[in-house]
Amino acid sequence: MNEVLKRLCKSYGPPANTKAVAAIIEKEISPFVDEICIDKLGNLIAHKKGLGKKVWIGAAMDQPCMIVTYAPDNGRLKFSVEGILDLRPLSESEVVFEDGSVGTLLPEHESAGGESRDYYIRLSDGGRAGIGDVAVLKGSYSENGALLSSALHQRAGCSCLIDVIKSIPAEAPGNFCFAFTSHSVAEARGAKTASFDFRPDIAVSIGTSPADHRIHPGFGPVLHMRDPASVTHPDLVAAFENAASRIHIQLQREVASHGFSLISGVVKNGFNLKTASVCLPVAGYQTPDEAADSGDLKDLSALIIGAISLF
Amino acid sequence: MLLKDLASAWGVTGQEGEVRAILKKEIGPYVDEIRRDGLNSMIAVKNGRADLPKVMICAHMDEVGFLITEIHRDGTLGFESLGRIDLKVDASKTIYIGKNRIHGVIRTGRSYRESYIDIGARSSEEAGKHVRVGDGAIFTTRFEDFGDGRIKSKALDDRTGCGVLAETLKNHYEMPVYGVFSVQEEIGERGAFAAAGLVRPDIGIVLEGTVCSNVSVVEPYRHSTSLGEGPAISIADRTSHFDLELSRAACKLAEKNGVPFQRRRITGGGNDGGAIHTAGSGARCITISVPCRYIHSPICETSMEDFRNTIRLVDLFLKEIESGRIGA
Repeated sequence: MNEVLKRLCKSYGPPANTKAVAAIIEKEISPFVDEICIDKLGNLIAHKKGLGKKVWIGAAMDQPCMIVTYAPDNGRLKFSVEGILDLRPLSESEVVFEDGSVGTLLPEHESAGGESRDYYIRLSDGGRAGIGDVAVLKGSYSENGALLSSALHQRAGCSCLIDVIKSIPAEAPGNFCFAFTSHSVAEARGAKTASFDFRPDIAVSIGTSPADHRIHPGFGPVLHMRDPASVTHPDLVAAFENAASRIHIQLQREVASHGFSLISGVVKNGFNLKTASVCLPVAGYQTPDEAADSGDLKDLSALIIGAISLF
Repeated sequence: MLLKDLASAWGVTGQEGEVRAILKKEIGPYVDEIRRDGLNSMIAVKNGRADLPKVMICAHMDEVGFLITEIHRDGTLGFESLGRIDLKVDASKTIYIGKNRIHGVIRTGRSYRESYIDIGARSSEEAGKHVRVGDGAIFTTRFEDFGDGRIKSKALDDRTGCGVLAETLKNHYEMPVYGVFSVQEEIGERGAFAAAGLVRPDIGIVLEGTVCSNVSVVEPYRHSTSLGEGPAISIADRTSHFDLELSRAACKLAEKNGVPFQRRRITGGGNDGGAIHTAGSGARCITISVPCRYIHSPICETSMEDFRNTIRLVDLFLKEIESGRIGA
């Protein structure tokens, strides 16, 4: 059982409130880095000092959420969504607030579409929530040959980056900055500020990719050739492909037509740098029943470790 | 009256000079320095103790308006909106065009491309004597009392914020305060990106005139803010999720001091906070707004008591920072 990933998937962490997730991460990585800080946006930033190129590696901590905007006496909470969240497959799912209050996401009518106005949250007995309170999908996690969770697409990147930090050889060349970012669900805002002071030469984003007819769990990690907001530098494409070949892992290539990686925030600083985005393929993306291959997750960490020496 | 002067001034996006002049005259005696950055935002500096957080308080000077894009052969004018203005609210409205404030009336088609402005000219030659492509245009709405304690005007987004900031800058605070009257907010917070990059604050406070919809034809759950219920403290919008602790602190402060307040209960829209909180290595940021009905239309409405209570709440918040109870 991947206990770290389990704890990450079950923890509460909407944008601007990722303390619980950051606490898990800090405990895991603190023996392996030289310094850790939390910046003004709640990003957790860790440094492993060394000589050579300045390499920034980031993963997002926060998750899409539902912000309560109307809390009448009858307990039918109305909300706005922050982040990319398709409500249709989430109907009748449990949601949880910061204080542990639980609610159920329910449609207003049978023909409810994807708009938040078509839904409400019904609080469970004893639950309390008011305007401004924020709910997230209740985190679940199990392993049954595959990794199964409602929160893989938010937290698998963090799990991978933790493994990378623990596994980087002491002699690996480079001056490293590892960033677990907040404010990431609508745009990569946290990544912008989390990379500003470091001014990297190379930036790598670790994320997830929805499985489709081109990308499949069980066939290795995914290298984004480009997405709507960034292009992976050819030198880094070569580094990742060489690394995959050396350690004998499959690598899937993707040109993503939707979504964005943390690189879209990093490049807004205007630095002259090379960027790449690598991902874990996830089936059932953004549903309560996401699934990924544990071998893909291990291979993603190994790929990044292998590529680092080739940057 | 400062708010009346500000709201009546010419200040379409990119042409904020008249607003800037009024503000400069008003705040000049109370600040240590006034700067203009490369995009023409005005930055009023009040020096303070270096051991306290650097605070940037931001309100934008520009208003939504129009830009003349074409002079037709028959003397009518093609135009587009500067900032988002729903075409529906333009129908048959009167506007002033250009520095000479040429009077025009808008006739709307199905889109801005199919709409035109009539200035009474009979030919492009005649029209060309009075207006040029690239001229800005603003609504002609007069600032007036409107019911008990309320006023109506154009441009309350964000001349209310400018008014709150100007009054705030007349007070003394121990920490460094940068009052930024930004430009070009309505077309993507451009002035704030530049100004925040210069100032690099620890804490950002955005002052806005925000949407308000507590009327009977709107379902209660869609009431974004309510007129007369005090300053609205934002939760999140399309460009920011505001600092949780600062927002909660502002709410508690209002409650403790008997200042009516409310939450901004929608997450649509965006403001200069989107630029400020991601400047440099980041800043803690909140937005406090004066509720204004019908923003981005010819006639907005606000409550003077809400305006005054917003000034009170901002002052209380700054005193909390000064005391060290709110930190960077």
